Amino acid sequence: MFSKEYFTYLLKSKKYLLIFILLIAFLNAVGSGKNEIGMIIQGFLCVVLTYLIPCNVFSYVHDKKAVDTYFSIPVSRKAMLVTGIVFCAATAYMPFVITFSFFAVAEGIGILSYALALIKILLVAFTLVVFNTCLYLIGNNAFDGVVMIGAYTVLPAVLLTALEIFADSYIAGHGFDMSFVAYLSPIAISTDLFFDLFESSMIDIHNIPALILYLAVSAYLLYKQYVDRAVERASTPSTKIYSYPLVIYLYVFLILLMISSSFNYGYSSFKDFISDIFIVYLMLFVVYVVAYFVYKRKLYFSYKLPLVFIIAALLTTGFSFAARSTKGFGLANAYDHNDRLGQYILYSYADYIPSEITEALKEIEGADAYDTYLNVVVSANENKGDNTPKRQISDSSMALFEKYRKSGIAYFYSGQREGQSTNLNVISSNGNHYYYGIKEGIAYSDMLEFAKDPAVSVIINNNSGEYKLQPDGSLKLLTLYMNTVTYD
Amino acid sequence: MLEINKVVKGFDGKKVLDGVNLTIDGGSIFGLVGVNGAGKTTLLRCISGIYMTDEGNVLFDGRDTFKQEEIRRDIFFANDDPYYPLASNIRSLKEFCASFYPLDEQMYQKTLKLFNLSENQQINTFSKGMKRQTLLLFALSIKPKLLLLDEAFDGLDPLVRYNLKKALYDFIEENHSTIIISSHNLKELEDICDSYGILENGKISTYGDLLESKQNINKYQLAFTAPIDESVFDQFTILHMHKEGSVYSLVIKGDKEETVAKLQELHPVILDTLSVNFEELFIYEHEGGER
Repeated sequence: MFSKEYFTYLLKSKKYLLIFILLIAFLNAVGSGKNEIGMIIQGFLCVVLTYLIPCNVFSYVHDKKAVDTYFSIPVSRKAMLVTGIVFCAATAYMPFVITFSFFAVAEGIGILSYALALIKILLVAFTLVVFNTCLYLIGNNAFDGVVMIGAYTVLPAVLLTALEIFADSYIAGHGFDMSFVAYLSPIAISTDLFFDLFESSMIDIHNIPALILYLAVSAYLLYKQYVDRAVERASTPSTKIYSYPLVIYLYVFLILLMISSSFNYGYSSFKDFISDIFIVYLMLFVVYVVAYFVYKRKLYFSYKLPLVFIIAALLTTGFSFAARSTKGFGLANAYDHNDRLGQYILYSYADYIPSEITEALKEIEGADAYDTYLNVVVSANENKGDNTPKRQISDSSMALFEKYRKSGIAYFYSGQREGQSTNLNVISSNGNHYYYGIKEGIAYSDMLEFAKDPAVSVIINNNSGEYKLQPDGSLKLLTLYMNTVTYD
Repeated sequence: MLEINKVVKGFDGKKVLDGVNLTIDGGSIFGLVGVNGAGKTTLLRCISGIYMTDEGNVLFDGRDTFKQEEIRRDIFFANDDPYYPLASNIRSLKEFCASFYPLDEQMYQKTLKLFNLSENQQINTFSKGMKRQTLLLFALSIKPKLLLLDEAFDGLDPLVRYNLKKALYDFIEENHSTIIISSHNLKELEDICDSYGILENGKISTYGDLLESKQNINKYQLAFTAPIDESVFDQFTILHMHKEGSVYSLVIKGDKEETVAKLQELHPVILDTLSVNFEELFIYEHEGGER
């Protein structure tokens, strides 16, 4: 499964590249010392090398002439693959080991943390090399191989953007945890692991199972692609279904979803909707045809091209209209309003502050009390960064928060997004973020009700200070800002 | 011994090799001929274990050349358009070859001298002929038991061709290796090959000892005093016939003496017998096959 002869040849033939990479690592290590920047640079280089080195080492697979030479040597395909992968991973990993070792000594990192960190990064290097090699071999030529690496690497980001735009447009509150998309990208998981090295979480292994899963799946796919590969594919257009055809359709579908979601944002009429997006659709269609030209390496036009595009456009538009009609498929209500340990922040701007508040301020600060930049913040269980245990929010406060939330949902689906006066931010105890824009300000009676709840604070800010509203309607000064207002 | 057993290989649903069967004994120089696109290079790639066959297998000394990689240490495939890494020279290629094959330094130095090549000159500055010689330098230096030469004589000047043929003779004599040469230059093949095979319609249509085959196909010129009924020739395996007045030029496959005796019975006023060369043999076999 491993060819010593091939590995030795790789070492010999790429000796200048290896010397260069190791020299950079050494200089980086010596130059940066305890500096985290040096580690970040080396981590970045490690990731970049997991892209570049496989493209170099496995380039022969895409060269019509080179396949004759490489696939006729007396080394089995399995051994060629394993040896190539080990070489690529080692080339990406060893420079990092050098820099990290210097860093570990300078920082006094314990031996267990040091060893665990190195194992984690070894796993990262192997996973990324195997994953990127697998993508590189999807293509039938070097250019397509690089395109496939780029396309599949960026795809999770495009998916995330499409989901964000869709949720932003159709789901009031938009409180969905999109962090799962990060698990579609080994590069995102790997980056997370690199940054763990600067945290106390150096020994945190929460991302490891996902990475091992990526390694196992991509290793299997790579094995099938390489060992069973028809070498005559070299230097021909990439026609496998999971190369250009899948990539083009996925991107077209996601971009169409973004477009239909974005344009539906303003809830324009169907006629306006069509006229507004026509030119954008036309531009995307041109890009789609160009992508087909790159795929086929020739001018290609068939009735299937516009047909697929029109079907995808109709599907995404239909999907958007369905989302609009069903209030985000009912997902706006998929929210745990009994979550009493979540964080709630209700925030109103100056123009919508009840007169009772401004009057109370004038009583304290005098007639020229600042009310231009006035705002009221009702916060419950706000994360202040300390370890204060969270309090149960009272039933009446929960009911009030729910009232404002429902008002926000109604306002969202009314088709008006301008002129909101109040925001409600909710972070549920499981970490989901919800955001609602509300047309009206916070009623004074509601503020007094909130003020009764020890779990809730009603804070009034102006340029001169910060006050807390008391249940009896008085204001208690919390902070007086310096150099703003002077009192006699 | 090389055994090619019912090898089928196709591309994009089109079968290029359609059940090729062939056995080549050790120590033989085998000329593989066929028209352009007949599948000669595909067959050589199947033999060298580069291509995975769709059906059938190729055994060399009893071992599968695709599945049993260790046998490829005894096989060298010199293709018609060799690959040379960017900025490589003969020295760096030697490093590559020596990593995987048992390279004979003495043979290397001898062939390097014979071809008059510089070890340190970059290959991309070489002419087509020099590039081909470079590949042949390694082909001979690793002393494979099976040497596959694709379009071996293309792009070589007469002196180099002479040197190459000489090197191959010496190589065979010393190593008792098998050489398969595919080429369109049948005159060159005729000089060097002892056996041949014609690849046609995805199959080996004709193969055998070159000398025997040449003796078995002859050209006969006959002249008659009066027109004759051409059905009298039906008794012969005619590969080619040309008539001008009452003079016939026939290429007949079959024992020469028997054929002459039968032709004499037709009482021609003139009967001349001429031997054919390899190129004519290929053309007439090809015509005969099409007929």
